[in-house]
Amino acid sequence: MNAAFTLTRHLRLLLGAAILFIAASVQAVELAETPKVQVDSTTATIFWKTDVDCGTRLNFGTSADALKQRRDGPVSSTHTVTLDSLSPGTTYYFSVGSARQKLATGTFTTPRTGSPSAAATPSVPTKAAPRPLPPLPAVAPAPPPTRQTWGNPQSLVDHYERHGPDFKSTNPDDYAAKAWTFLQQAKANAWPMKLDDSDGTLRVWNGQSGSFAAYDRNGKTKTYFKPGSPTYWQRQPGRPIKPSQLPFK
Amino acid sequence: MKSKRHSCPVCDYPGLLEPPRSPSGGGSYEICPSCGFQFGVDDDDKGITYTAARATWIAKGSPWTSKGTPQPKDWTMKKVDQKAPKKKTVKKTVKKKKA
Ligand SMILES: [Zn+2]
Repeated sequence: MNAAFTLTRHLRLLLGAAILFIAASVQAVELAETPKVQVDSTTATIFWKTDVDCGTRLNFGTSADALKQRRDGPVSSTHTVTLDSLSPGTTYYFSVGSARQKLATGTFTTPRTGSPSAAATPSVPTKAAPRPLPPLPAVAPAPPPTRQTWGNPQSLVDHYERHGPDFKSTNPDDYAAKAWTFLQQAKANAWPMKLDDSDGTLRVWNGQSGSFAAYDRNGKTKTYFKPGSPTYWQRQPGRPIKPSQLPFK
Repeated sequence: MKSKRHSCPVCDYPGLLEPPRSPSGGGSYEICPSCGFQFGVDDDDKGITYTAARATWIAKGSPWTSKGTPQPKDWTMKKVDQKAPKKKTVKKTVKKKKA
């Protein structure tokens, strides 16, 4: 019976050690470097760092509240996930972390096919200018609730029905979130902006995706769409303004 | 606080929240909940005139188009003169009792 006692004691010790190990590994991992995204029209690579080794998990989707797709990677403190077969001209939302813990959220937009940085087909002659590396889009936090970002709540469904398809929006909140994200990206990347002093409207343009948005004096969205006219932006009134000069955060 | 309302130059609906054009000439981007015209988009981007939009809207039976803004009880298509579209100026703001 002595042997059995010793075995039980060993098992207890082992169990104790296992519990200690699990407890240590459950301790919160922290982000050491916020996610950075390198994006092309159909691929995106997301990098981030953690303070200790942990698993790699990235969830993503085209709606901020439905990150339905998942990619897992190895245990490490430097994490890289590459997404391919993405749709050009589309805004994606993502969260990064491990299987246990979500550490950060962000968003990126793939350039439209045919836009200068995304035009790459096998038939492109070699004399064509080398494809410039697309700029690193800034990673924005997850959008706030629609009531905080959209100007007139009653108008949202009408704008969504009319312009949501421009951005493959799946519902009014998704459309409003994308309009908010557009402004964050415009501020981070210094996209063209015009402030109309006569009524406080801010107009924002991204030539690469052909997207336009207007915001009220508080930064809430008035509309977001892709104009058909190639001279639309040039014809919009307002004085050019830098992100740091905006009258709202 | 009741804010001033503005009249739609396409369908005469008097409940627009903003003037269709700012003093600078820029569109308000408001979609008229009555006729569905979007100022700064249907005109500036698509090149549709107010007169043409009005004719199109009337041809459809002058429907209330908004799904988010309810139709005021005292605003019906009967108020619209369906035979003689009025000429409108861009910045005209009609001071009517609000709907
Ligand atoms: Zn109208």
